[in-house]
Amino acid sequence: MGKERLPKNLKFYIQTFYTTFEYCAFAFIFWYNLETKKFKKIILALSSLFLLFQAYYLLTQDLKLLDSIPIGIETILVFIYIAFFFYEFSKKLTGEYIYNHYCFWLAVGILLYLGGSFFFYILINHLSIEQIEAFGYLTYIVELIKNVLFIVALFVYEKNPVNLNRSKPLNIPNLDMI
Amino acid sequence: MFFLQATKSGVSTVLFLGTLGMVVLTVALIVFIIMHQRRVLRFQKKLQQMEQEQQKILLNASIKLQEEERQRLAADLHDDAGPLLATARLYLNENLVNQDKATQLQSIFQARQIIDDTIQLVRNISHSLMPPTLKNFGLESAINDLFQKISGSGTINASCRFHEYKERLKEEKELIIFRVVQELINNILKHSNSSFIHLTQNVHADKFYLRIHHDGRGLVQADFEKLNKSNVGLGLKNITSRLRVVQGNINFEKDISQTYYKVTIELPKDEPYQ
Repeated sequence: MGKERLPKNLKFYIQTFYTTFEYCAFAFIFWYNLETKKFKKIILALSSLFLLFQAYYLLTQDLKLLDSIPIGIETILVFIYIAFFFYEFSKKLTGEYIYNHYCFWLAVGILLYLGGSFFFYILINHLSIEQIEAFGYLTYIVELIKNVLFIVALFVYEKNPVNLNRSKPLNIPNLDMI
Repeated sequence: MFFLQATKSGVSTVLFLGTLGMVVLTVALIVFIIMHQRRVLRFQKKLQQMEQEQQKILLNASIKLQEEERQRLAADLHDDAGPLLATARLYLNENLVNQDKATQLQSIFQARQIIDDTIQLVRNISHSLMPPTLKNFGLESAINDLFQKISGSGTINASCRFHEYKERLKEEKELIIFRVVQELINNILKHSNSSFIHLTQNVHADKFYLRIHHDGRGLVQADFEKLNKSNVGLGLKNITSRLRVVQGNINFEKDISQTYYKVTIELPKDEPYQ
C-alpha cells in the first residue's frame, strides 16, 4: 500500500473520525427525513451508543489497515435507518412516487455503497495486498454509483418539494339512548 | 469467524460472492419497493376515479332533487294558490258595485276568507322551505318540534335529547343538519315500520354528533354505500351530498344487542352562532 507518510496515531484518528463522520452524516439524513417520532428517537439512541463505541474503540484499539468493526456496525445501523425510511414511506398515502422523493436516491446510493463495500471492509484486515488490489476497485465502483445517485437526489430535490401528511384517529362520545 | 479461518482463495470467494450478493439484494430490494409502490398508487388512482364517479352521481342526485323541489313548489303555487286567488278575483269583479249591499258584504267576506286561506297556504310553503322554529330558535327546538309532531300522530313514539347544545351552530349548518334529520326520519317512517325513534346529540373533541336510534328495519353502512353507488336511493345521495358540504360523515350500524339500528352523523363543530 505504499510508503507510510502519516504518523500511526494520526492515521488511526483519521480512520476513526472518517467512519464517525460518515455515520453521522448518513444518520442525520434519515433522522431529518423521518417523521415518526419513535424512529427518530431510536436513531438518536443508537447514534449515541455508536459514538460511545467509537470513543471506546479509539481508546482501546490499535491501528489496523481499516477499522472494520466500526464500519460493520455503521453499515448495519444505517441499513436499519433505511428500512425505517422505506417502511414509513410505504405507510403514507401521499400518492407520490417514492422515486420523486430525494431521500429515496440518497437511500439507494447509501445502500449500494455500504452493501457493495461491506464484505471488503469487514475482511480487509485478513486480505493479502494482492487481494486488496484485486477487489479494491469494487469499492470505487459502488462509491462512484453512490456519488451519481447523490447528484440525482440533488436534482430530484430541486424539482420536487416534499409534502407528506398523515390521518388522525376518530373518537366518538357517548350517544346512547339516555 | 469462519471467514477469518478460511484460506486465501476461500476469502476471495467469500468476498466476491458476498459483495455480489449484497449488490444483487440491494437492487432486488429497490426494484421490489418501486414495483410495490407503483401497484399501491395504481390502486389509489382507481379509488380516486371511483370517488369521482360517486361525486358525479351525488351531484346528479342533488340537481334532480332540486328540480323535484322546484316542481313541487311550482305545483303548490299553480294548483293551490293560483285557483284561490282567481276565485277571490271572481268575488271582487266589477259587477260587485252594481249589486245590493248584502251581496256585496257576502262577496267581500268570501274573498277575505279565500285570501286568508291563500296567506296560510303561502305560509305553509314558506315554512316547508325554511322552518321558522329553526331560524328563530335553532336546531334543538326545530328537531323537538318535528319529533313532537311525529309523536302527536300517535303511530310512533318519537323523542329527542340534546346533551350539549348551548351554543348554536351556523344557520346554514343547522339547516343542512335539519334537512338530513328530516330525510332520515322520513325514511324511517316510510320503510322501517319501527315503534320508536330516539335522537341524541352530543359534542366531543371539536366534533358535533347526532345519533338516531330506531327499532324497525334499517340499514348498515354496507347497504348505505351500495345504495349510494346505485341509481336508486335519491334521498340517501342527497344526505351524502348535504353532509359533504359541511364536511360531515354518516354511519349506519346495528346495535350490539341487534335490537336497534343506529345512524350517527358526525361533523366538525364550528365557532358559536353569531
